[in-house]
Amino acid sequence: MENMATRTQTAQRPNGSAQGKICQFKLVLLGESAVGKSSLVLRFVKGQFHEYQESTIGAAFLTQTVCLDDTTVKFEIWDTAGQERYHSLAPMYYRGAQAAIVVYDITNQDTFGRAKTWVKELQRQASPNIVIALAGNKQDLANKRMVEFEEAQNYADENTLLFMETSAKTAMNVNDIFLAIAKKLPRNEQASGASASGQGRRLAEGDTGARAAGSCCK
Amino acid sequence: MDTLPTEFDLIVVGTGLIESAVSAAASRIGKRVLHIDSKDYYGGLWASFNLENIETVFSKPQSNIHNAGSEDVQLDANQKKLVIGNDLFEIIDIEQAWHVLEKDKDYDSSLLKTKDVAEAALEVSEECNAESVDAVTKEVPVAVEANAESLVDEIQAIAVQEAIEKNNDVDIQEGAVAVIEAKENAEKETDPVLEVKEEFNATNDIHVEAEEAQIVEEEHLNNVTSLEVSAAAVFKPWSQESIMKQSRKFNLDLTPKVQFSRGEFVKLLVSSNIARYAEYIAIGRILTYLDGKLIPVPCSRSNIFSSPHVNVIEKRVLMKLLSTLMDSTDKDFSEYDGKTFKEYLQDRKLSPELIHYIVYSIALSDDETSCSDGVKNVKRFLASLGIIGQTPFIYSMYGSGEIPQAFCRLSAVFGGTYALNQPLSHFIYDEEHNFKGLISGQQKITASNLVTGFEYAPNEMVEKKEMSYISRGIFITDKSVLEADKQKTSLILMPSKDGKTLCHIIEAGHWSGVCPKDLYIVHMSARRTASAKEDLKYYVDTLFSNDPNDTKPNVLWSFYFAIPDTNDKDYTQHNSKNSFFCPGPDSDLDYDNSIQKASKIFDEIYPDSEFLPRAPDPDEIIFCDDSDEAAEEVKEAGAGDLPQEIEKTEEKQDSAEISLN
Repeated sequence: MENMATRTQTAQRPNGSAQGKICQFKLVLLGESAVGKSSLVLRFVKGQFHEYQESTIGAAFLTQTVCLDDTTVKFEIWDTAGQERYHSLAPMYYRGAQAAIVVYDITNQDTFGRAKTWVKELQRQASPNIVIALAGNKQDLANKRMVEFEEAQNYADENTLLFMETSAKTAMNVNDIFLAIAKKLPRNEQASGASASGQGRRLAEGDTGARAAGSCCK
Repeated sequence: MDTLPTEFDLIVVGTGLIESAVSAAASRIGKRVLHIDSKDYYGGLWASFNLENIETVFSKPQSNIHNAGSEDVQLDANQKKLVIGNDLFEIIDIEQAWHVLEKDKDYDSSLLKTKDVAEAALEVSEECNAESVDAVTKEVPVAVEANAESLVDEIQAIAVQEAIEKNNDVDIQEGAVAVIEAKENAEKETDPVLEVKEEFNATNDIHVEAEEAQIVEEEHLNNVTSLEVSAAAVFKPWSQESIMKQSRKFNLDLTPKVQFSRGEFVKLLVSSNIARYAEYIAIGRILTYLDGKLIPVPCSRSNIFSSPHVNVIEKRVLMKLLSTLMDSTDKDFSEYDGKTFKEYLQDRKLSPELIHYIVYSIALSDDETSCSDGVKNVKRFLASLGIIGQTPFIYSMYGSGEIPQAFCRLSAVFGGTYALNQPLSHFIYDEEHNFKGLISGQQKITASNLVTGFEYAPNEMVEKKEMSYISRGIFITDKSVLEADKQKTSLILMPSKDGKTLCHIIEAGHWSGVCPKDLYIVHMSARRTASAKEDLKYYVDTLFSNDPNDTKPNVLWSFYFAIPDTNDKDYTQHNSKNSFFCPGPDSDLDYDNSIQKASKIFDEIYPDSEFLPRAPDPDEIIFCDDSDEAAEEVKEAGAGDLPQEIEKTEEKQDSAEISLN
């Protein structure tokens, strides 16, 4: 017999007000190969950096949690798994994503152009309320800079994107950019992106056969 | 773009479900896989498209074969090139049509104020049509203008618009008159077009003889009906323009499938961790058509007890029978060898209604299904009941096209190289029929094995025999076939008039991510006997209406086609030990048989390896954001376990199961 055990995520304060709600968001990384997408995630999730990171890591699906006021924001982070290399990223990838980090390499002008293409693609295809952040990565190589900070900042302003220059190597702005996204994401029940993926559910192993993975806060 | 690496263990051509599953399984055990497709989208015949794209997907040449540069590729002395693609595989019966006006401006909101207006206009249009019927000649030319229908719509729309503009400030009564006049004028103006249209509808390429006047009569009636659609369209808020504006919100499946929530396929998705890439919605109800009505099939225990369609005695009989079937073994049915499942039920003295529910909906069978298959199907149905929602079925959110993509993602995560939109021209074979590689543009790419969708098989390796097809219809409608108190994705299992075949119908709304709000998508699939449109006509006529005041849905857009079913027979003929051809979609409701085929191909290539073993979860992660005052340590287990998932509140009966006692 199946038992759909319901877990309560909300701790009750003595005065009855709810606290400690958990919001879960799908965040996708986009950008040309070798701009440091995986490195950014690895720095954010594990605090690690590998100079000669292989182009693909086995775990292209990581979670990380940040705390904001009384809310725990849980990012479900999707990496491209190299599918962008021959322009073959599956639409499933950004399906239902509530946030995206579009990454370019500040030492390579082409990657900035490609980043703009990705922003356009997201604006066209992704959910309308998606929070997009632009990350100019490899800031530690600023002496080889080919993309000016102002140029990227202006572009970000025009398109209402969050923007930071980051370095997965030195960890500069890595946590900050995720935190900035977390702050910008809707954390109330109504606007938590439920329209994007709140209807669906994930299947997972276990007695219940399935568990819901709604994005909304409880 | 980077050039592709040139050496692999396995090349997989085509991103259909079976191909993608083999690709994922091979990458998973560390093989170097190139997964390549000539199309610029994932999924091949299993893909989903937005509205704009589905119109063009079949109008482009189906084989994307590029020869440019292939001459420059140097082959070894004993090697030969075979052109990719064959003549046998072809999508047929393609017919797309709008049943609403083209532009938003063709509608006027003042006309929506009263139903009387619509009714008045309809009556008049019926009269007009009745007259024009006589004008039709009995000899029907073969060549017709396919866009005749939209022309009629357009001309009528313009006329109506003109009339509306003239009478902008008059009251509704006068408005109605204006519309009627406009319609009359429009129909006079469009007479030649109308004729073409009627001829087109009357028959495709048959010369109608005098003794077939009866048929002609019937066809005329159909014409009247279709003209009513264009008349009614004037009063509908949807236009081609307003629907196309939301084109990207559509995910229209070429191959719609549901999944048994505890079937072999779902078990594999979960155990291999592929399930994390897809989202699901429950099929909320199963409907069947009985005594001229659509009725929710009582299938879960709570359904059975709450159903107004079965009486108290029947409830007990049904529960008892299902329990008996569940606990049965094969030898319990030995006396029914060679008999049908329906006969078995009839011998149990069940009422015709119960037999209908069990045969068509719970056993997913038809009148000719054998007893043993029927029992097997019932067991499979019951095993998945009570897992999610009220039925044993789930549907992939954003459409069935997500499923191959999920396999491809797993393949990529484990190192598979993905390249869509590639200029594929030839496979390379040696004299012993061994696959050596393929030519893509000017590149020669080699691999030890080839797995490819049947549609890419070279003519030399294909056996020309009669092809079976699956008739498909996709419809955009304006309401549900059966209004419910809450959003429910429906599976409608409808036997043909003679009960010999079962049509699979899926109806989904915006909550399933396949269409915009206030619209519905209906998928129909049946074995092809005549043509896609003819095969589905009975179901279309039964479920839909052309009358906007009817409770039945109106069809706003329809798309018919038939795709080859390469599952029942082997259409390949070759001696290549390292080439494997994947059949396309089958006519099943679900993926269980298809995934078995993928598993079998994988076993033939890599007999000592497990097919899609569990993918590891990322390590346990501890993180605390200490820049935040409210920070506290949140311990996270692996992402795959999603241990702190927020459970959707389930209605209690959602998890109810048929008791087996």
